[in-house]
Amino acid sequence: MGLLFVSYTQESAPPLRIGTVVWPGFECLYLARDLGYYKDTSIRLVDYPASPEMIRAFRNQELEAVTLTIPETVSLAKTEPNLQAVLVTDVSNGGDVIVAKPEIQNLQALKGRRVGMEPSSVLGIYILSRALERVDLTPKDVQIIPLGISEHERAFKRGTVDAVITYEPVRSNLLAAGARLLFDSSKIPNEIADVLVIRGKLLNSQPSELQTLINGWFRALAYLKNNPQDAARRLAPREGIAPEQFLESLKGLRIPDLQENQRLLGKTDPLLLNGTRLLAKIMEENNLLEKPVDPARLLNDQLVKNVK
Amino acid sequence: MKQFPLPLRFSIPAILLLFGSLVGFFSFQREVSLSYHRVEEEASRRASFFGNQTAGMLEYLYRNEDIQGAELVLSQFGADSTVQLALLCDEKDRVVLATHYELRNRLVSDTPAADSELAIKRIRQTISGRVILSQDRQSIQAIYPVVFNAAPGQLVSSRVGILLLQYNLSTTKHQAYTDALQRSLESSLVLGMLCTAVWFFFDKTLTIRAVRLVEATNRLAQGEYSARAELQGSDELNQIAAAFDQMAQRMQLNQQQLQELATQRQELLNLLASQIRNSFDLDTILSTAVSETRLLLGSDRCNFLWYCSDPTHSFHLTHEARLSNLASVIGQYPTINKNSCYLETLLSFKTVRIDDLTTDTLLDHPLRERLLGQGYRSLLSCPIQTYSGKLGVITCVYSYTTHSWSDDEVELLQGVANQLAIALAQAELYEQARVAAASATAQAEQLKLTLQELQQTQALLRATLDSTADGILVVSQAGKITGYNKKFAEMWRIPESILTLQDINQAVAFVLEQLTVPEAFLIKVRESYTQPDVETCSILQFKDGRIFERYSRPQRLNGRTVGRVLSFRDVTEQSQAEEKIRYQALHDLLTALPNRMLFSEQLSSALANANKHQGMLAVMFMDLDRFKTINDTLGHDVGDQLLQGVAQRLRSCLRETDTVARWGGDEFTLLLPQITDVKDATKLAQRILEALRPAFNLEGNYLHISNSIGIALYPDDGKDAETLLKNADAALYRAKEHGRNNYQLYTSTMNSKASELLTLENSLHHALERGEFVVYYQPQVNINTWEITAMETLLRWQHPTLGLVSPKVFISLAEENGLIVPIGEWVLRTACTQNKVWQDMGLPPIHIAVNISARQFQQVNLVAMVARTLEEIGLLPHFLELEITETTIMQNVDFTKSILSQLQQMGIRIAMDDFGTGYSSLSCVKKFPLDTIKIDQSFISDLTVDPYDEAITTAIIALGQGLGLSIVAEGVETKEQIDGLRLLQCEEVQGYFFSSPLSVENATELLRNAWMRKVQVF
Repeated sequence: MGLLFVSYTQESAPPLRIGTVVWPGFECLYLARDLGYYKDTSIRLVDYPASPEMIRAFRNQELEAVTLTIPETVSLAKTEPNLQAVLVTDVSNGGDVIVAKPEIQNLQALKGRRVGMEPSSVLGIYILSRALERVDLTPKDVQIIPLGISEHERAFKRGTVDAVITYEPVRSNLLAAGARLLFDSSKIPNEIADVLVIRGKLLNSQPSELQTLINGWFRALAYLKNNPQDAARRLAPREGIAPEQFLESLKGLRIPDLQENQRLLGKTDPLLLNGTRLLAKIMEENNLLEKPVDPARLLNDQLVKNVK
Repeated sequence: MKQFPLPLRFSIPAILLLFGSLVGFFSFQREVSLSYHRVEEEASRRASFFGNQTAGMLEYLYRNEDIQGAELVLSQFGADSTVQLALLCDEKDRVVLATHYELRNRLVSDTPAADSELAIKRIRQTISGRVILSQDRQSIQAIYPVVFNAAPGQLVSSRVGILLLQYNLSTTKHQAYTDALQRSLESSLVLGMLCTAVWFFFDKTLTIRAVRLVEATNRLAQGEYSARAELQGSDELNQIAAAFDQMAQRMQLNQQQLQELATQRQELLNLLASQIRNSFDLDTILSTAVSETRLLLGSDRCNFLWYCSDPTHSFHLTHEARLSNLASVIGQYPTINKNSCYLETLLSFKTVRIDDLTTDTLLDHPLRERLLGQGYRSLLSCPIQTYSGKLGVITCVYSYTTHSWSDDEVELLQGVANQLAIALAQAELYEQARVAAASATAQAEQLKLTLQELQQTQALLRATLDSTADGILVVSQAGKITGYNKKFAEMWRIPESILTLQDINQAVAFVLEQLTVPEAFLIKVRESYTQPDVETCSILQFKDGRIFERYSRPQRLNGRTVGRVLSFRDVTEQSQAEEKIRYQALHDLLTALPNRMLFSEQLSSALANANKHQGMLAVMFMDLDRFKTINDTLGHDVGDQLLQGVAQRLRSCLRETDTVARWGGDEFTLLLPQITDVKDATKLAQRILEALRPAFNLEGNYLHISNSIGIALYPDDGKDAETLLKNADAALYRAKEHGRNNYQLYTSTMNSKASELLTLENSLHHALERGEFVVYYQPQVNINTWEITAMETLLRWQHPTLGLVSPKVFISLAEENGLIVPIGEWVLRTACTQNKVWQDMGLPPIHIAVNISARQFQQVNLVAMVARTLEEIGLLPHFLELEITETTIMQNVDFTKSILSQLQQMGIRIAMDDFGTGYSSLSCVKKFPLDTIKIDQSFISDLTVDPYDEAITTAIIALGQGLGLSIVAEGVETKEQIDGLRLLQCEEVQGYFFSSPLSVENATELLRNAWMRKVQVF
């Protein structure tokens, strides 16, 4: 008789929802899912058209994890005190760019022009400030037009904006259409990294699922290295480009392997920590950060250390 | 122990009822709280989902300054009855949008959501939406941040508005309460019914058991010792019952022991009786009697005495049994007083019982003295009267000890005496009879011997009858069954009960039911009555399939017919075997279709019939196109399966009266004996073509086949079987000529054509050795440079009498009979040699293209042959291009792929001929290693007029270029086509526009001129 009452209370495992945007650096997650590494787990990958939507969902507890750039992470940390970056997915190596109409010859010429970027995009502001400071300008010297990533290409081609701060696959499409490359992230190495971010309490509540997620990432990464053609064939349709183009787009970034991840997040290699500090500083200077954030507390190597 | 105030059968249900109510009440409480929890959880999930989603939508719409869109989004919530309130306020807490318009432009503190101000403030700080349950748990609020566009001059927006959705839970909760109440009532009802059932069960079992126990006690009390309660289980009631059963068991045992003792005595007595009555010999009877009786009573002695009344009134002791240490007392006893009490008692047939001789008064003095002298102390005597009136006495004695004789002992001895009396009477009677019988015995002996002999003869006869395999029945002239053997009854399955009636009519009636044609049998039976001396033989068929052979012969006794002997033999197996042999002789074993012999038989009779009725019939000849190739490539097993499949489909096409036969190989003949019009035949032919069109699935190979059919009609196309078949065959040939997969009616001109083909095939065998083949060359030209890039080799046959024979005709003939292999090898050699000659002449090197047929591909040594040829001639492999067709390579994909790869690895180029005509062109390109594709001329001919052809050609060119293949357009005839192809960026062409196929001389000339022109240009 007792069983009748007990059976009501059974619950399924809580979901582990990871938000991503379309970006070659995050594709190993989808490769891992495609190869079945996340079968029978509660891991669920959620695509977003742009990162502000994804960040909002994370803030509103609709996601347990998100893939973010370091600037976005630092910015999010203002209101999320226990934010933890547990995986460095990729380091931008020319993938983030400022492209402009062909008649705009250099950065200097951007002054007073309309620059499109994702709305409230800390990354965009950051890249813009880093680029403009080379020619002694600040973001206030240009006209910023908020544009979702899906609107970048159209707006640029229509002439609604004179330049955009963007990334793949828009980058390739615009360059192919004749846009001029004014600045790219290879000029500020290791400052723009992408990381997988969670709330710290998740490490206690869902440790095994998280570990599965990270293990799958590195398995998929190995697969991508050993079978690039097959991986590209699996992933290119998501990006809406040909497999060759996909492989090409990977060249704009670098995906750190497990050892490098351990070094970067464990801070034995201070490159990421220093980059993040520099970033926080610049953000503070540009009034992007009202409250100081301690970058050292953001990086957590617990999961990458335990990868098998 | 405290006693219940009520009987158990009432107190137990009361407790159950109380317990049930408590369980029901608590489960209801729990159910309600669980339901509330679920409602709240579900509402929270809904609220958070809508909160997040709507906040995102509003952000997007505000970014695009679409205020109307935002109003629309929010107003949607007005329609949701569970939403009490939905509003959006700006960063200064002023309501911008709301489901209740009157709230617009108010401050939040001035709205029903005023209580949430604190929460709103916190959420604006964390920019993280929350769902909050109200204090009274009757409503739920979703509060989500909405980030507006940054103010001018601001890099990052700090304008955080708030979306607030308030859901009412009271209705849903009330519903949940009602549901929970209903569920609890339902489960209480079930529980109640369950408890009632349990109580009912207990009541039944307890009462029944108690009644059984009481009944058993009563029965035992009435002396029924076998009474038991016999209750199963281990509760208290059952323990009582078990104890009772043990007690009853012991009582029954005691009773049984007593009975057993009595039974033992009785048995002893019976034993003794049977022993003494076993013999008719007086002496044996008496000896046995005394010794057994002594043992039975356990006395020291037991004696038997005869009383001699005349003259002396004395006893004579004739038989005794005694303990071994006692002396024998056999002999004459003293005369006793005639009036003595002892004698008197015995003569009045009473038993004398003397416990102690020393104090006894019954015996005469002398006798007593004598007995005491012999050691007697205690005795029991019982008189026995014989049949003849003699008196005997049996006496049991204890020596030297007194013995008090019990009633049982007396009774036992009397019992012995009674038995002894009977035995003695029998013995006397026997003796009398023995004497009387002695004289009769001798006579009887003789009679017995004769009888035995007779019996032996009869048994022998019976065994003989029973051991034959035939069933035998003997019937008298009057219709009476006078004999039969077992086999007969078995074969006919007639029960003994009918046979013992001996009435033949009954037996026949029983048998008739089993026969297929009972009337025929009845006639035979009647005949045997009307013609009693005739021997007959007939066959009987049973409904169950058995077949009997029946022989009937008259039975004669002393030259007179007295009846009939019928013998039946089961010939079922024999008949079936004959039937099978006949079937096999007339059918094809593979397809189970009639064979040539049966077909001819049926055709003959159909012809006779048609002749008689002036009717019409059709004969068809059919064969499968390229069956040989299938057999050679996929093996005979697949070929056989294909034939079976074809036979099956053919059968399904036919009417009942039609016949289809396998003529041999892949040839089938059909006979349509009843047609009224040519259309009947052509319709069937069309049906067959369609039936064979779908693919056959043979061990996973999907095989498409086509077939050709020739039709000849009676009486128009022939009056006899031979002519009809020959003409149908001729029509078949014509069908094949027409490109297969069709049917043709015979026409009188065909025979000459057919024989022409036959002649052609014959001369094809010699064409090669007689040097009748000629190779022609057609150039392929680059239309940009006008250079000749290759020559395609084309074969011509110059027949001495028929002239130039079309390749369409002789190539397919050569494919069918395999001559294509040596011919193809010759072409390859000739072409390569020629190319080498041109090179040696100093002409610019070109490719030489040679066609390879499907049949050549099946040659295992194709690769070796090509390599050897090239080596012998000294031509570099990359100057050779082999052209294949799609149909060739699709026949065995894996095999072809490996051959092509080997050829390509040698450096030989591979070209796909007639590209675009097959159904699998595109997959070919992907699957096979190719260097060149040649666009079929059908696309080129309409290139400039048909937009579809242009589209296809464009696609093929794009495809080829994409894959890095050379493209050659075939059949180019006009300048317009050249221009069109140039537009499509197809560089190489072949066709009459540039040159027709040329003889070797003309081709050499052309090459030389082309080269000269080029040289002159430089």
